[in-house]
Amino acid sequence: MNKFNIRIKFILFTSLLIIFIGISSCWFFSTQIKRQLEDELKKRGYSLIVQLAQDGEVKDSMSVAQRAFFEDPINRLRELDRDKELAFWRVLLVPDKILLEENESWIETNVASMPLSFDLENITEPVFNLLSTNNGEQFYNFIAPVHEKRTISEEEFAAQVFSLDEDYNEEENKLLGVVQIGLSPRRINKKMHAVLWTSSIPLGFIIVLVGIGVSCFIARSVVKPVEDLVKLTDRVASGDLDQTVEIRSGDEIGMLASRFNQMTKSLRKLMGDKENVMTTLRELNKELSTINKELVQTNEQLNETQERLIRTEKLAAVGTLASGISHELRNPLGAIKNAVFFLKRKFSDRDIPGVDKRVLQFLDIMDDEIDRSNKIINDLLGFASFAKLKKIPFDITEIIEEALLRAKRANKKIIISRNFEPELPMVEIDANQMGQIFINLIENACQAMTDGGKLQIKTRKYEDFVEIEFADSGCGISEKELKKIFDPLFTTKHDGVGMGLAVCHWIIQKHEGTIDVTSKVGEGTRIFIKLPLKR
Amino acid sequence: MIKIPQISYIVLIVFSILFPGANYAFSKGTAIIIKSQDLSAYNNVEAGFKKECRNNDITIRSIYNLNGKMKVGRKMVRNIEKEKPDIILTIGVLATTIAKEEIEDIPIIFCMVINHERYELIKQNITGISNEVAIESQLIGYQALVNSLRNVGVIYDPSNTGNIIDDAERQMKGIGIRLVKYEIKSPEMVGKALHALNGKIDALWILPDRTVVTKDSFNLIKTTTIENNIPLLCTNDVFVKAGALMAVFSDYAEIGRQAAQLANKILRLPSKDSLGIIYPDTYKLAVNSRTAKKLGLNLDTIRRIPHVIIYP
Repeated sequence: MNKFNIRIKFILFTSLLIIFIGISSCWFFSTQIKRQLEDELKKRGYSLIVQLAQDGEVKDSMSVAQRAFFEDPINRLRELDRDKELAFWRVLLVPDKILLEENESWIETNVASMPLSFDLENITEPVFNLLSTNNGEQFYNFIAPVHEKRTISEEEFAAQVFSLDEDYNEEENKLLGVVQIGLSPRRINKKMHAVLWTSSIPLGFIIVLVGIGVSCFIARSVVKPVEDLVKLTDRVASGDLDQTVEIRSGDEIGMLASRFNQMTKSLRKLMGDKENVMTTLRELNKELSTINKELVQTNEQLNETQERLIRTEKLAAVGTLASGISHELRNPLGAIKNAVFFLKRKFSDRDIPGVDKRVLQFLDIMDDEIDRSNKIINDLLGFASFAKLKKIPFDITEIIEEALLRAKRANKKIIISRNFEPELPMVEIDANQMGQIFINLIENACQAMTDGGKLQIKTRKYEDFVEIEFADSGCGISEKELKKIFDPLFTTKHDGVGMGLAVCHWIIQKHEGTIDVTSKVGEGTRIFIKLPLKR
Repeated sequence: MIKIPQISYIVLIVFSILFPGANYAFSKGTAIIIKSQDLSAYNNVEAGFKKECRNNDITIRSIYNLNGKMKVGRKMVRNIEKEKPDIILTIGVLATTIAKEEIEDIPIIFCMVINHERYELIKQNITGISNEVAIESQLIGYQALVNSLRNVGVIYDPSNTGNIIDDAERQMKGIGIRLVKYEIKSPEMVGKALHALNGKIDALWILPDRTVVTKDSFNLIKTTTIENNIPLLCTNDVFVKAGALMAVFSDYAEIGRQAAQLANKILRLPSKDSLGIIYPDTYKLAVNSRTAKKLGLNLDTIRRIPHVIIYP
């Protein structure tokens, strides 16, 4: 950024310009005056030298070489010199005789010491030059030739009449010599000095002062509106669009102010329009957000419904399949079980030769697998038997306590923490199925805490629901598995069928409740069940 | 052998040198000649005057030449007064006018003053000889060659020669000649005047008028008059030499002689008063034969007349 503002620049520039103009005017004025004075001096000098050169008495005196005859012509010349500028005079005869040389007493230089510095016979007309003496004096030097010439015109005519000019030849108008006068520039120097100090310098000073004043005024009148505009522009830039500039003139500044006002007006309108648009957009956005939220909710509901439907369909399919094949599988498994039992009893009493000792081990395995298959079949059959709910108002806490008693807890290091809300309202539920759910959830939690841990069970009334929370400190479920845990036949356990949580979910749904799971691997899993209060 | 008369002359010369005032003692008077400038015409007058002075025992004390300079001339004339001559001869207008102004009590005889009336040379001590021959004498002279002079044209500037024209018109009318006048104010009007006079005049009379006669205008007058067969009549033989047909003029030496005679007469008078201004007592006729031939004029008739000069 330039540290000088436009006002200082303008004043500086115009002041310099005006000072230059002032000095130039002063110089020009002085030069003109000096030239005028010099011209006047030259005119006077030429006039004096011509009068002297044409003075008949001078010619006569020169023709007879009589110095004494110059007294009257010189006196006349001095009378003509009203300004007393005549400093010296000199009369020379051809070829180089000085007939007369005199000077006024008030000059410092003696005329005799002044050089001639001209070739007398080459002077054909009055000439002028500046003559500087050794002691520094300067003179305006005028030299004029003096020719012998008949001055009486009647005699010229007589010569013409009596001899038809045969006795009179212009060429005989021979050069007698020259007259030289010197005019002192003292008077014009004094006048010039006076003019310089009384006119030129005051004039220049006045021009400079007036000029600077005018430049300040102009700078103020030009820059002030610009500065106002800058301030207003800053205000407009900071958002205050109500600023207007007062239009004081019809010039460019006035036009700028007018355009600025138009611009701010346009900006105000644009900002108003923008605000309206923004309001509309905000409203639209709000509406869109609402719609989006609703859409998300709807979508979630749809997804949920879809999942529920899929899950239901899956459960229905699984139920149908289970009820179909369970009976068919149970009977063969019963026969196999009996056979295995018989074989085990037979081989366990004595050693039979030729039979591998590992047969008993294999039979134990077969027996276990038959039990496991029966369990799966029982689960499937149990799931099929949950089809109908027998809801009656029941105390949830009681069901939980019973479930805790019935649930198989392999690890005794697990601490059960109860946090039941007292006077929890009765919930209309199928107590058996709900008890089965709680057992299932407690067993799952215990299975997740193989090295022991803490199972917290909370109940509380929440709005129109009763919320039951099972929080374990087990291994947790990964995010990928978490999405699938309510799907039928999905299990992470090696001996699971994958129907437990699916059945839980299905039963809760049947009770118009919800079941949600949050879990972090290594930290534990929290399951929230909400059951609606009786309406 | 030196003879006695010769010895007398030698003694007289030596005596004169040793005692210059003694010469005057034997003369009737002393004279000084003042010339306006060094012109051959003035020198002829001077020569004629000197010669006649010797005849009349008038001693020429000094001869001054003013060289045409007024101021110096005035100083010279003041010095002349100190010489106290008995009579002064002034030749030319400059010498005459200065003498008139500066000298009061010495008789002055002037001559060679063109149109003397312009200078009012009327004074008790001034006698003069007119430069112009009398009009009547001029006409007689012109008619000797040009017989049929009825209408004589003249170009003049009234401020210069108006007095001569008035006198001439009166005299010519008396003898049946009409003077056809054309006034001009500047030399540039000469051509117009010649054009205006052409066909109206039998001859053109040229006076010593400085407005009319200049170098350029005279050549124009000469050629125009010859082209239009107009005899050009002048008052000075100089113009005849230059191509004019003829002039009636006074001989300059004769003027000097006449002036010396006038001086002698004045010195004899006890009062030494002015004898007035008189015309030259003799005149001559100059004719340019070439111009006459061009104009078809026969010169045989005038060759017998005395004092006729035929140029070239």
